[in-house]
Amino acid sequence: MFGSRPEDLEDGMSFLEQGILDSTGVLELVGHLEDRYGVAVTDNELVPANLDSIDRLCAFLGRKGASIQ
Amino acid sequence: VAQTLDRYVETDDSPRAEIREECFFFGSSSSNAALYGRTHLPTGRRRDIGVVMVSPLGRERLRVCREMANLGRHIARAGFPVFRLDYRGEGESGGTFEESTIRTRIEDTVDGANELRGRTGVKSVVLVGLHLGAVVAALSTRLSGADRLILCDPVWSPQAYARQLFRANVLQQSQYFGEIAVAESVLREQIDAGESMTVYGFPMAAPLIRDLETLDLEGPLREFAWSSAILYFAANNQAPHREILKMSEWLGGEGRCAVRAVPASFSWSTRKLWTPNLTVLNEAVVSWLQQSDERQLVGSPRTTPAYQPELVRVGSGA
Repeated sequence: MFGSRPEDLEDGMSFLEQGILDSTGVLELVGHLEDRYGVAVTDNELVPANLDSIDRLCAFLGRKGASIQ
Repeated sequence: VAQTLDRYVETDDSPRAEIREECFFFGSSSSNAALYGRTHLPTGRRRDIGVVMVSPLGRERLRVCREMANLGRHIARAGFPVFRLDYRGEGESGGTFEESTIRTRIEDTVDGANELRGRTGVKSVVLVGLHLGAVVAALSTRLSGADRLILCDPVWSPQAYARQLFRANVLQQSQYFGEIAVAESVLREQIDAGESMTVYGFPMAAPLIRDLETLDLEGPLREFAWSSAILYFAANNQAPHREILKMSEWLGGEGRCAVRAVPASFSWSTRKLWTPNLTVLNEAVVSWLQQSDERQLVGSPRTTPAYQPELVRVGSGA
């Protein structure tokens, strides 16, 4: 999705600050989360606090009840 | 740095064969709008197969505007006459974007295919569609008489695509105003009441949204009895998405539908409007076209001698 090598992506790294993802590109990420993990993301959840790093994504998916390792 | 530059800075590395390019308006068979078209024509050996390129929608069309030109030239230099058009309400063509639906885009694609035949005399037509354009291409095969189909990174769920249009509006509200003043549910009410919503500056109205939300891809894809290819972006050698494989099965599976990875990353929803260099996509398209031309058409018309409009289920589009 991001065009970077997965091994280059650190868990706490901000997608926005690193230019990996921009504020519009988050739509693609949300589509992926819904498709891959079966969660429903509401409008109010489209915020960096939920989506802007691997750590935040894992926490968010955990709160949404997704099964993640 | 050099590798990054190579990826983003446009280089014209297509074969050096000469091509001729023409721009013109042509008539729409279903509206008063004049449509704007362009041809990329080989000046040397010309194949009997012509290509109609089917662009994506709205902002996504802008995102790949340059890529569509690059791809068209690349295909033409390989000997295939190419036709590109601006759809009703986009670019130089007449009409308004609010009038644009899946149905109007199918009609425009069919007009484009007929214009290509009239101008070049090609016997065979290939539809090459990108993203939502791939959906339109797939739905246009029967009316246009196309006997080959290339779907580049196709939208596999028009319903999810429609949902993302609403979401894009909401996200923009949040980014520009710091709050969501008009929630998705309210936007839906407004659309149902006949208003339009702006998505990256493009007014999307109820007919288009309904088309997307009621589209059935399986039927039209199963009805297409000829050769096809699905190209998907896979920068890290990812396997095709399960929905890509499903589309491939609908198109006849292995032997009739090739599924090929394009080793590149590409985002449709980034804020960036410039087009990255998608040479690998251009090469993949041309490679399949050349192979398709060298061998005989795979497939045969099953029971589809004539187009039946009711088989293209696109909701209540105008």
